[in-house]
Amino acid sequence: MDIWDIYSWGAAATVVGLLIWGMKLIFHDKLDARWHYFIWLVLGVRLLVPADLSWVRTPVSILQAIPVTRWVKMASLAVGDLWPEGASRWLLAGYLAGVAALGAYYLILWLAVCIRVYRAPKAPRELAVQVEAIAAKRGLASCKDIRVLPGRTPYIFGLLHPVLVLPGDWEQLEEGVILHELLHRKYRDVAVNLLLHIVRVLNWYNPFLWMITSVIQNDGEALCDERVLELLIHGKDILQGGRDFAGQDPGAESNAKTDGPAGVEVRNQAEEIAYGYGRTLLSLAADKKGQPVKIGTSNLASTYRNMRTRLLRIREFDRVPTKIGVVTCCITLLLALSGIGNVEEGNLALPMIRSGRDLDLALLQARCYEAATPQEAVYLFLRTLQEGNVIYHMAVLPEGQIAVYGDHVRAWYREGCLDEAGRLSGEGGDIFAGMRADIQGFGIYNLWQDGERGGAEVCIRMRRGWDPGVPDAGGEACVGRTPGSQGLDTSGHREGSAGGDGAGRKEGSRAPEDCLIVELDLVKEEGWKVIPRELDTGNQESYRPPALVESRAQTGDFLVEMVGYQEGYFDSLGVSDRGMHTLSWTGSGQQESWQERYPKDFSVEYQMKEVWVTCLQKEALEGAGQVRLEVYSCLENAKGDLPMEGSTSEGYWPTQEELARLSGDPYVASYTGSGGSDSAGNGYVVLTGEALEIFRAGEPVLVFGGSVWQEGKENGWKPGMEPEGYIRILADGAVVAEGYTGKASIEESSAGEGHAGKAGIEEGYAGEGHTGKASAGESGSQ
Amino acid sequence: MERKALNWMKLGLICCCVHVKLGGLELLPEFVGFGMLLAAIRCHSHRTETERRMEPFLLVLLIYSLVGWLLSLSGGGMQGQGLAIGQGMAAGQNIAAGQGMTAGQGVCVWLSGIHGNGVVRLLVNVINLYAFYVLAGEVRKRIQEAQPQTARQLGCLRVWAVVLLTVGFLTTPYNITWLGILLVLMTLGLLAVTLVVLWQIQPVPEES
Repeated sequence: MDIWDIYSWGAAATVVGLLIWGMKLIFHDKLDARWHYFIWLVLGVRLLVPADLSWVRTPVSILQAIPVTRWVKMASLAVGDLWPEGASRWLLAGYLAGVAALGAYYLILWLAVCIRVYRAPKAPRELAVQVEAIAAKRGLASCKDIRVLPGRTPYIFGLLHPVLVLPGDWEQLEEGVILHELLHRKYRDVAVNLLLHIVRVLNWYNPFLWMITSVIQNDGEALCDERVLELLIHGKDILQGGRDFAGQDPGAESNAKTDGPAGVEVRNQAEEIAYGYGRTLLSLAADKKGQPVKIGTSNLASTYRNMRTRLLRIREFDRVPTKIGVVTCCITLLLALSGIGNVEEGNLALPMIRSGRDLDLALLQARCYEAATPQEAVYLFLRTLQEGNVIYHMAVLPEGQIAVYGDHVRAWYREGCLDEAGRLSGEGGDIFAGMRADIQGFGIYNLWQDGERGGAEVCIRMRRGWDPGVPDAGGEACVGRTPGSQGLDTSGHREGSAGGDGAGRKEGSRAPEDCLIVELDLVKEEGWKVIPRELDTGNQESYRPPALVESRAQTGDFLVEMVGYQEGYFDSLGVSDRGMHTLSWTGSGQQESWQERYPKDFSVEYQMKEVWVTCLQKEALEGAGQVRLEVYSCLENAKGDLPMEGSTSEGYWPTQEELARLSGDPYVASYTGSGGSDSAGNGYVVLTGEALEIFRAGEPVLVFGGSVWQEGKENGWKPGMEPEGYIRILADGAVVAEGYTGKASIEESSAGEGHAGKAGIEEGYAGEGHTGKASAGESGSQ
Repeated sequence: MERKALNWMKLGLICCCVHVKLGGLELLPEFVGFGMLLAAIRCHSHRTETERRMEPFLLVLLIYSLVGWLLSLSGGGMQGQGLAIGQGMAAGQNIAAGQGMTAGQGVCVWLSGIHGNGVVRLLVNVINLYAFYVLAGEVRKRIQEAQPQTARQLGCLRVWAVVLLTVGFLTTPYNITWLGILLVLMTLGLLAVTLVVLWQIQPVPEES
């Protein structure tokens, strides 16, 4: 149990409660007592749900407009910084002690009342008869157990076996008073009072909630008063054949609604009844000191202060607009959902930094910010790189690095390296000191996550002619690596390919280095955090992202290797019209404040798939004049009928730049041919002439699997997955090999059709091949 | 219903529901519509208790829409959404601190923050729903005797309007395209029908 969660819960309930109270003040004479009481159910719902419930989305969220939970979180961080040694534990211990003490006090009070009531003598027969008569007259159930005790007012005690307790000196009972108590019994208001006391115990430190629970109790009494008046004025006298107080027959329209003298007289009589009831309540009202707390009871008379509200309601009886159930339901629904819902939009709101205090506040607010998605965290990290903004960096820094980084930021501030928006000067420290001006753009690849951790690779496109050497130091005090950057060094180079053995990393002559490649680790703490792990330089033209997923299989005499990577785009790293999150800086001066929206997801993300097919046995294509390699990517295509000839589009062929890039690739010397791919991830290549000779000689041929627009986070690849696809190889129109790659969960079709499920590699044979998951080296070709 | 009040009401509803912009300037501002509705109530020779109680609500809606209109003219202090409580007020406090902001700018920032605040928007929406529903109910009561069918239609329309507004408000975060289109079409249809029903109401002679 975390004390700060308890404070958040209490704070959220307080805000919602105060808002409801404000709403009640606005509608004090426009809605009846029922609405004024049952609107508190909204608070009940708020008390039952966690403070950070995120699955209910609303256009307006009370807790985001008044971010008390964030304030509590900031307080927790501040307290943790000031008193790191067990401050939260002491606070929790204090809270539990308070709960125990108040709970014990209420329990003792309840026991005292319980003993007193059950020891009290039964009411005299004449009083019991009066109670039964009043109940019978209005069609209510009487109370079986009636007792007398010294006191000012009657009350109902007990939930399971209610007892009506009457003042001992009463000889004649007021009908309104007894009806009031019987209605409490009927609607089990004692249970509500018990719940309110539980809320008080759990929030013993919160004076606002005490006040709110008192208002709720009073509203309950006011509703009971309204029900009493409804019975007295509009109710039927069962014993008089169902006639009302004016002697009206049952079923007749009330005279009170007419404008004639009869109607006026009836209304006057109704007002007299209400007036008389109000006077009774007033005479029973407690003095300013109030009555002692009675746990587990109803309470007829409130204090003088609360009585004012009840008398006003009595005065408004029958005057508020009627037949407005629809709009009151809509209002209640709006309030309820706004009280528990969350606006999709996030909000990173920061003060402009004009003092050390502003800096501390900005850092605290950044620490409290929780990036909802890995994409959002990466975006903020890229903004950090682009602008050198230490505050954005703080928002996506893991908890373990915050303390050290915060010290560095404060040092930079003291040295004058920070501007009002938290940006480091050109010579300032952080990851890319001195290089930010050269950044032209970002490419984000292979962003994956499994809910707890993730990764990505970012290709930072630098200005042509940028020097990848160690940056100019400039102001010595401002230079330094980001704490926890784990040795990011722009002058180093990684050996081999990054991220595994995916196709694309070439050796040989080096092109001019004009991009930085940063590998990122993503970790989910309370929000997503970014840890830059490794840095390399490269060339934009030759850069290819590493494979995120790979699969390999052999079908017949052909080796099929499939690699895939993901490519995500933000519209821009500047002000964005897309996305739902808001970044704002507030302050004063020349530029007082600004606000922008930024994306929490990629604008678009593609899954790129490439298939390399290698002919292992030259004889497999003996005499063929044309070979067609087909790749079908969609799993749906693999079930049932195979896609037919010509189902792929002719639209795509690698551009000259892509061909030039590939021509230096170790896998492909050169090839010509025709082919195509589509957005469903299907592709094909037709090889003839020289291209066919190259393929027959054992050179791998690339078949573009196309780019598939990734929809939904659940469809994203993760490392270790194997891309799935279906390969078909035709020589002069005849199928020579076909099969699935990857862990295709396809039911095996009938033998002889050339469809294979998860079959072993052993069953390859000429003419038709089966593929399964195989490791390199297994022949399986015969 | 009296002729003058009826005319004010028709014009007020048009101003509240129909938006015509010319180069960013709203030609039929909402606050004018609320002012007309207020005038419609005050035109009655005998105001009901309920109508009297609706006047403060219409005044609140008038002020809120007027502030919004003025902020749209001035460009506002902040773009986009309003600020959380505390930010707008902090920005406004800078006026007193004399930190380089003019009084007008400070007021704009402060008003913009309050105007766009989620809680304020919620309250205004709630008041809007209630005021529309109840006022429509009062009109219905006034014409009940002379035009019972029109009164029934008006009663039905007000229910639909409130439900539609509530559903539209609550479903906006989900960005369901087909639902959004449906709601827009239904709202337009409802507005058209409401105007037709209003035009069918026959005024009664004004009492001297």
